[in-house]
Amino acid sequence: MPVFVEDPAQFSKERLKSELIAHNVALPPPESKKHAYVELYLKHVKTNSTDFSSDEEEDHLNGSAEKEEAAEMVDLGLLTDDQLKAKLLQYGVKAGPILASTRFLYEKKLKRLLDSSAQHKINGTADAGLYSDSEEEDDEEQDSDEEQDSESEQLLSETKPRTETSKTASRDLTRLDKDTMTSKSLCLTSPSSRQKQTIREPASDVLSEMFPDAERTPTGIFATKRRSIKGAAGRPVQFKYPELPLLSPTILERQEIQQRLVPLWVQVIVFLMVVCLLYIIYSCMDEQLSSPFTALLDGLHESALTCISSFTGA
Amino acid sequence: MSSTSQKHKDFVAEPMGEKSVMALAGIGEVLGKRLEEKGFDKAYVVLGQFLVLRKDEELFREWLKDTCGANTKQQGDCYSCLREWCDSFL
Repeated sequence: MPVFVEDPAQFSKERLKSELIAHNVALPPPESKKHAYVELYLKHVKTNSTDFSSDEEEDHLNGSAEKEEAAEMVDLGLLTDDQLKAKLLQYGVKAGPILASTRFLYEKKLKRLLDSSAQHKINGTADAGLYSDSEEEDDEEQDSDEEQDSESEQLLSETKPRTETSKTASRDLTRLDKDTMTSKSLCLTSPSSRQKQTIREPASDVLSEMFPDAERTPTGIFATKRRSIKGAAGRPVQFKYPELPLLSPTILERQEIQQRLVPLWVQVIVFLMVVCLLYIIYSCMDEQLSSPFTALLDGLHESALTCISSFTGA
Repeated sequence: MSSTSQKHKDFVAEPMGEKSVMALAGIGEVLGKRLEEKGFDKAYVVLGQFLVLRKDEELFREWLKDTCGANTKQQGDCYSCLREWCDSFL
């Protein structure tokens, strides 16, 4: 409401009341004189007039929870029944009649709502910060576990800041393989495996120099558990996932099929041979086959006739 | 549904009429006396309070606790008793 003449003393008591309610100020007790209303009006409206409407709203919203809470708590007892009901409605509580027996309960409820809302504001910001941090960490770990190719690039870039000395890329990777036997290090083998052949030939001595404490293997190469690219260069799939049992179901099936394949061919050949033999026999004994068939048929016929006659006779 | 006491069944079975407040489930002698001192001498007065609170469980429980010092179980018994009575007769 635009007020051009700011002389609250000239306002009626009712006007002052409505103004105070509009500005969300707790009214003084009903018995108080107009003077009290004027004072409150001046205090509140004056402070708001310095800041314009947008600031005013922001102040209301962003005002410290404690301030609001303190102000509300003091005024809860001073609120009229209607105001109390309105405030409860703000929090979504549809209150019944505010009577002598119910007023105290509703005041307590409103107080609880104010406390919870104040705490909710504080907790909300803190939790958001926590979650964001944890998510970032998880994402990093997940990325390193799952993908390989893109990961290799990432890790190459990561290794550089991690490693202290500035050696060749291959040596860095091998060193990390030795030091950190985590899944991340396993991923490093993807580029390292490609470079393996180039590394191994000149680096057999270098490896022994690098890892003097390592036990000597028959091949002379320290066998770290390196992950190879799946299916590349004829490497079997089994080594990609060392955690899984070596005989995965698909591999088992393939082996079973392979076991059958060998005798299957033999079975087919044998079958064909038998068919050929039978055909040869049939072709050779073409004339004689007809007589046993006819003899059988005649025999069957006679037996059937005898059965029927015996049945009809009996 | 949890087992209801005999008192509950008796109360819910018929209109309360002029029954004493101690006929309510969960309200025994001690609590009944406290309620009577506060002016709630008949069951229908407590019913009145229950209805004024719009049959809200939380408010009614709190009111019971404040008025006569009922514990959680007693509050629950009284609330469910009155609610069921209202469902049947109101």
